[in-house]
Amino acid sequence: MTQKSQEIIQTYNGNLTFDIIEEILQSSKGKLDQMDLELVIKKRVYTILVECLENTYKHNVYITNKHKHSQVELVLEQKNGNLIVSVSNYVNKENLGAITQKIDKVNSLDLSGLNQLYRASISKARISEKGGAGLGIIEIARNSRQKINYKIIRENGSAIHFNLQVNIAIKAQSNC
Amino acid sequence: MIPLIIKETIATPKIVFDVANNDFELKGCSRPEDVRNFYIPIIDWLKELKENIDNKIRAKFTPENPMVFKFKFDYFNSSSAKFILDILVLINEVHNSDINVRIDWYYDENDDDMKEVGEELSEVVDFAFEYIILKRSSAFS
Repeated sequence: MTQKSQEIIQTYNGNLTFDIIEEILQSSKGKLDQMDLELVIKKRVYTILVECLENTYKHNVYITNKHKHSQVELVLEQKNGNLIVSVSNYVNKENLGAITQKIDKVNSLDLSGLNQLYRASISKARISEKGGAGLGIIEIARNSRQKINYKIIRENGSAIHFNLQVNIAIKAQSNC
Repeated sequence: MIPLIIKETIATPKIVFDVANNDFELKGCSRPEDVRNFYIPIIDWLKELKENIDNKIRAKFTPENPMVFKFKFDYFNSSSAKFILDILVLINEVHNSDINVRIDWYYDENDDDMKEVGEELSEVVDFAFEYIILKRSSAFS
């Protein structure tokens, strides 16, 4: 099968619920299965989708604004030899520093460093009130094997419209 | 002990913990909506097992016929991983109570990542697993 250089695989705009996440995941699984990809790549993309969507579901700030921007925007696309997961949502301004610190930390590590961080973190992990173990960003980085990109789209009072972009090379790499 | 049996759903794994039949299995996908509510009964069951270990149970699980825990996950999310580690720690504690225990970690022949996750958890919990390859297609939906 010849793949196009750019192709949108999955998009979603709106608020998230557990059931909506399930629908997005099932739909994405079906679409990834139609592509000529190794199983390990499909599962890495699936892992990244799960962690991105669950993080967003747990930490999204729901705001209303006059422009009626969608609360959560997800795009999964294929571009230039990568599968790209992009998620935009609103986060509390006061939490922004902690989020970007976590991403900067994982971005500073190679795969071996990420594995060490994961082992140290899972041993002392505690499940938060929101049901997270604090391992999601590490898992995203380990499955991406590339740097995680993020940007602030705009500020809206105490909320920040935040975008996370994760790339996965279509060809599996055992180390990088 | 009363067996613990939880049916598989699209987001939660099948769980069977049955001492009488030496049937201990975790199978499927794990990303529960409420991870704590799903895993705490499993953790509690294992704690109860540990507290109720006696010579009768020790005699049942011989080196030739150990208590075999089969981990057959297709996928688990990061918060499930924390509870899976807790389960493995408790299984190790059961083993340290003079029970013969084996952990079988199943993975798809096309999914080396799942094997690596098993090796990683094995190292963290300091318990050697057996690795069993499942022959499947490359589809996962």
